[in-house]
Amino acid sequence: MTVPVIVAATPAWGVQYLTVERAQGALFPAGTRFVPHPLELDAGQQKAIEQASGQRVRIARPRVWKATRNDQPGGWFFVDEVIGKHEFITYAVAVGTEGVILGIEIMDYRETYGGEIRGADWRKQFAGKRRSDPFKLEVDIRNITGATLSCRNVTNGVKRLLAMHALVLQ
Amino acid sequence: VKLREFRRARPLLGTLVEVCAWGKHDACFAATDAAFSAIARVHALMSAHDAGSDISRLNRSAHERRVRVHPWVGEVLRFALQLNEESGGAFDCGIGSRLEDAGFLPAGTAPGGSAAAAARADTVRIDALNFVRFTRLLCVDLGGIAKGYAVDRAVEALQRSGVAAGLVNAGGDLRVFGLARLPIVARDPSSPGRFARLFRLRTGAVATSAGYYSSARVDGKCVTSIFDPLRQRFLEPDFSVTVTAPSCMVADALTKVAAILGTAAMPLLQRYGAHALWWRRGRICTTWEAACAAAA
Repeated sequence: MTVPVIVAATPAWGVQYLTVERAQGALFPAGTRFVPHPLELDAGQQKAIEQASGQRVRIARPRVWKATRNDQPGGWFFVDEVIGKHEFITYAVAVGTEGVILGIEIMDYRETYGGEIRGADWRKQFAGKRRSDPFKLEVDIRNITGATLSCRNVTNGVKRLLAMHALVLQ
Repeated sequence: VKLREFRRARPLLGTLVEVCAWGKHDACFAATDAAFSAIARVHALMSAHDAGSDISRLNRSAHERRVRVHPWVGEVLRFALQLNEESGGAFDCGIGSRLEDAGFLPAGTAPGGSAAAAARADTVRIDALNFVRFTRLLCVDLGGIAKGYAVDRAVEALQRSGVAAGLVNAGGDLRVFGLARLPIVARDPSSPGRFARLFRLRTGAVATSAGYYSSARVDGKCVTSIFDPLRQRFLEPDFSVTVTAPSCMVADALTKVAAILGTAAMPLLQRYGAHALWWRRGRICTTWEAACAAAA
């Protein structure tokens, strides 16, 4: 039993996971303090980071916080953004004093897309389904099955941040 | 009572994994931490990309001597062997060298000289203490099942943490508990930027296999990473199949069986309390024949 489906256009959707503060709390032990660490990468530093990581540096002023706990260095906290073919991801990385990654948290995920397909009346085949519920894409989109987006962009972004950490902050 | 929702996402299992919990903030925070730990553990044990994983150790050495694996790896391997038998060979985790040849796995994953060989009860022996022995050179890849298993372990961690409701979505393999019916959305296989609502899920798991975001060129043809061991070829990326089941490991594995066997997979799906939807060329059907007829 089949029914053709039609498409209604909508431009984009997104999910916000964690604020800066929440991401800091998720990646560092309680009681850690964070001080913004303004940084401006000059052309030479940008080139060195690009060579070390194989990734392009698009932002000259990265968002960096220095973490301290009981007046001792506690590592670094970075907020960065990567852009894929259809997706935009803001994420946070925690790096320990030894230069080891303590963790990565996605803060924000946005995706452009080609629209919701409506009128999928084939659902009548299933008992107990209801079609009257208003579909709020920005709320329900977390339930995508088969969404296997690669996280390669994030992995590459982390490589770039680690190179910056090694070359500029250590 | 309206529960607060707590959502996090991390890059794991080669995709973005989202974990949601509903309950008190502190409890949700600890619960999602535990869920991510479980997923990271499955990843470390079962990734063929990682030389230190149990699976890589098996592929390197299990044809020479017995190799002890983590009980979780034992559990997944046993289910894979059982499903191989029940599906008449359609489900096969011994296709690692095929995946490597097509570029789905990094070069050097398969041990030297290992041709594609089926991972069956007679080629993979596993005892009660999780000692594994291959009776021949073999390259096992749990890519078609481990992600679902990771979701199950993460859901278990959430439930143990005592949150009222939870959801884990590992790049489209997802499982929920404790929620009112959750609308499930799938991507159009011929235009993955587009979505359709498929059905509502109260509790249980759903997984989808499709070619978007993971395709390669083999012999000049664009193919999915789903290898059909019966016809010895990769499937074409013009369809998707979505399976619901009580557990995500079962849903994940049965998407491959449904993709390869089509409607012939129905008795097996029924045995596991699973249902399938095939989506091809703009039509969503409950049988593979209908999907093909619509396309003709």
